[in-house]
Amino acid sequence: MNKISENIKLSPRRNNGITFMIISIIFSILLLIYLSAGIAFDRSIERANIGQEAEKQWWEDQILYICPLH
Amino acid sequence: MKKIIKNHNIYHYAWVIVLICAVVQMVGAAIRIGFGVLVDPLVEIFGWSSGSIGLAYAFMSIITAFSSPIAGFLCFKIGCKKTMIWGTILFFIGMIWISQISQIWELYVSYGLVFGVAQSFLLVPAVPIVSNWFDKYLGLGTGLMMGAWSLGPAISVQILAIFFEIYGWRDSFIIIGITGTLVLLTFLFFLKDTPNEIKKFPYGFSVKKKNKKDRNFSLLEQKNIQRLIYKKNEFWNLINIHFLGCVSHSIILVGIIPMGINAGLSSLSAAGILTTLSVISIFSRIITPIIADKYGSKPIMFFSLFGQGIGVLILLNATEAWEFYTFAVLWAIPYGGEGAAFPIINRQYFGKFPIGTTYGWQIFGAGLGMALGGILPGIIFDLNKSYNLAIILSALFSIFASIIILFLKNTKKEIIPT
Repeated sequence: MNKISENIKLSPRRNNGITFMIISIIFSILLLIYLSAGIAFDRSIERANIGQEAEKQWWEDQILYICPLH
Repeated sequence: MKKIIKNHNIYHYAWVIVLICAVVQMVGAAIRIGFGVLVDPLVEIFGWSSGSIGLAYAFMSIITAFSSPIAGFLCFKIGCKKTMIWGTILFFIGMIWISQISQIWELYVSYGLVFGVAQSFLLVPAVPIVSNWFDKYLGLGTGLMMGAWSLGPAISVQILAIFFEIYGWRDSFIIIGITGTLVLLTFLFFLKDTPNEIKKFPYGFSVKKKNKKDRNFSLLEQKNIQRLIYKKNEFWNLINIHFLGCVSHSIILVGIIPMGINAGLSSLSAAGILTTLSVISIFSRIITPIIADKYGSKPIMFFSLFGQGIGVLILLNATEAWEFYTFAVLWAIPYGGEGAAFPIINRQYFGKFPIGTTYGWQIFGAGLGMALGGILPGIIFDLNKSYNLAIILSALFSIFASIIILFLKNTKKEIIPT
């Protein structure tokens, strides 16, 4: 197993460190946006049910448009 | 066997260093993993949501992440021992402060900020110190120290749970804070940053085999070599791998007790899952650096990350206590190995060059990962009333990390000419 794994060479080698880093960062940010959208969506329904304008967070309106993702 | 024993000398001061660093690591790791026990009492007493409490954990991890390169730098600037003493002082302040909180912002400052810095100041310097003390058998030294990462939480989760029952959570933090600080200071008194300080050689050092690589690096050399390291794919990939691996297991470490309770387990039984996986992971934390040292770090790191990713899927269908405990036993093995090989792969890639800064950056990645993973189970459960998405994400992050490992260079040759 040692020999197999140590000798596996995948390409491209050039700058793959930065490339993988960028993929991880973008995926993490998208995940956070998706979850924030979910929270914003839930809270908007909650407000509609209660029928009052309560404690709206500054980011909720901005992020509501991606709710279908959730 | 006799030959192995013959090669070792148990009276070498390097073992005292390993013991001291292990104790410090136990306390440092306990700060992180003990958080799971704190969640339910805070929800019960103050009525805070699990998501908002989870933010304190995330904040702590972010602070640990950003202060880790600083800890690495301080190691080089004022010395590792002094950095750890500052970590101990912060640990004491954090424990006493948590015992007095009544507002959620106080939790964010005491646990998030103070403990965040304390954790990095206690965890980061231990690895460069052990590395300084071992010329050969670094895997064994590191493995024994890394075992403490699991032992600390395994003991502390139970101690916290028992203390909470007897003294209540406020007094528990005071008692453990004072006792822990005294223990740390006593042990740190005997800590030496390098063998030179007490006119000794590193463990496994042979005067006959001394070569040009056994030397001290001047400040200018350190600066130049560190710049070269920043240009290597391996430097960035190792930070990323630690980040991804930590997101993956942070989801489980923070979420497993609530997951168990949500499935109908008692709080004591749910806490037992965390204890079980901590105890089992001691074995793989000890053995992983030894294997990495002997056979190369890549295969064992791949096994750990891939196993961690696949193993977590057991939780998708877990509803009974035995299923959770089976998961704890199976998953603990790859989980324990995830971070344990990093000091070894650093030695294999960067030789005997001081690894404080490089390791500090790797802990930076780990801290960010712990932060992201820490908030996911709470938020996902608040939204979906289920932990399944969190479990799937945990698997994805680990499997991606295992793929990146395949792109790392062979560890047989140093990648930086030191």
